[in-house]
Amino acid sequence: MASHIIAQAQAYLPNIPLTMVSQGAEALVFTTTTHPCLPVSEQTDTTYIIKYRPSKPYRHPKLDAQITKHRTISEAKIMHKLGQLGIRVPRLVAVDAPKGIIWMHFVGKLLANGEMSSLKNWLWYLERVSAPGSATDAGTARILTQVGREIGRLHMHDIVHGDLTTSNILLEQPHTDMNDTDWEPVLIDYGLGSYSGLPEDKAVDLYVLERALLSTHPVFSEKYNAWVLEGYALGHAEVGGKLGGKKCTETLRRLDEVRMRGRKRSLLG
Amino acid sequence: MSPVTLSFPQFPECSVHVTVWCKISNTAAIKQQLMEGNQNYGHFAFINSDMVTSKAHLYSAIYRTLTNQVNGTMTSRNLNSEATISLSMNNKKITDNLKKFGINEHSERIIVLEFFEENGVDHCDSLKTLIEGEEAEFTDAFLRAHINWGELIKVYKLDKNKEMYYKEEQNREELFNVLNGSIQLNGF
Repeated sequence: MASHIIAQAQAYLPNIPLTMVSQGAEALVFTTTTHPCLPVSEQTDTTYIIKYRPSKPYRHPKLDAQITKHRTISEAKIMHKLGQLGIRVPRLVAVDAPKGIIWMHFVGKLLANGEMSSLKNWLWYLERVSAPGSATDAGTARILTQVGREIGRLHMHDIVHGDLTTSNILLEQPHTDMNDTDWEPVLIDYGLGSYSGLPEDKAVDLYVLERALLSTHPVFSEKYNAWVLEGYALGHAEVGGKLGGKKCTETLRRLDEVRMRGRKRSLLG
Repeated sequence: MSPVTLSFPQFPECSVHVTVWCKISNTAAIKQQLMEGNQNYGHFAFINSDMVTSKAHLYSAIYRTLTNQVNGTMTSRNLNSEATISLSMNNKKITDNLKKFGINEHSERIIVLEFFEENGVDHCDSLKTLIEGEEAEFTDAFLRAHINWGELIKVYKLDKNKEMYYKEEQNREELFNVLNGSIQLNGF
């Protein structure tokens, strides 16, 4: 049970109403309507996300504090950097590194079936609920291409995500005039993100997403993947032009190798 | 004009009084008194208003100040100087930051903060005798109108080529996002 962890989070965040939306091994995610920096008199009813990394009882307390702080900062820094580079990310609101807390803007909305608009839920919704054929129509193609394009742009700046799954890709409608079938993808959760220029690391990113698509959407995964890779090349060309094309080819060649041997390069551990 | 009183959700026991002053003629004297450690001035944080782009910008620094206090990670001796240097993106150069974000001989406009505890006394009345100038309203419009862009771009390491872009009204949010991130990640 996570009750004592939630109690700890609440003790760290006095007067902040918390609603838990997800719990992972590394962190808990809450929503709240209180902005941390704004005075009480200027609060609005906007929703924010709080990501809290609890301390781990099995680690030495000193090491634990160090690790929590380091991971929190590293995630916040990558998000800040990406925001400045013009890549869609949840914008940073505040950071309380020693306590392992990151505040950010809320991304996404609810689908017609009440689920959160992650790529996973959205594809499931199309496959199961929507009209037959909509999972493979031009609209779906456009969005998966956009997903690939975002990943390409990310990689062109030599940043790898580290945990690209379909639930770590949210869809949002940033403009009010966008219609119900029109979405823009946002990559979230940079907890395992890092700086790397190696084709190997980038290829692993793509491979992880490929596997995620295969396991959650087995029927159409091949099509989905092809669209993602199409967009991936677009993203490279957009940021890097000719050089981008070269980098893209390198990574895709590497992806073939990774496919044959799996995510781990060495077979030890 | 009476000071604006702010209290922040996570820090109910601490309040902040904000007053804004313009057309100040005795900044050099105020700075002198601060350097000499005059107690009458020591109650306040004197912030160079030309380096503050919006209310939210100032709030971001106040939030860092208060979390630093709670976490025991303050880099200066008291809340007043901590608030001033919390505006920066590099807390290693305390003297430099006090010069940039604090009061200097040329400032004509300043923001004065006073942190006080619940039921504590405040000293805002004494400001009228300390500052020779006019009180202004603490608004986004006032702050926005008097930004020292050259200095702002330098100290926040903003992209020089985007100066015109940041100056445009519709890109305020984006400017704030960059400044806010720099303030929140300061020192890490």
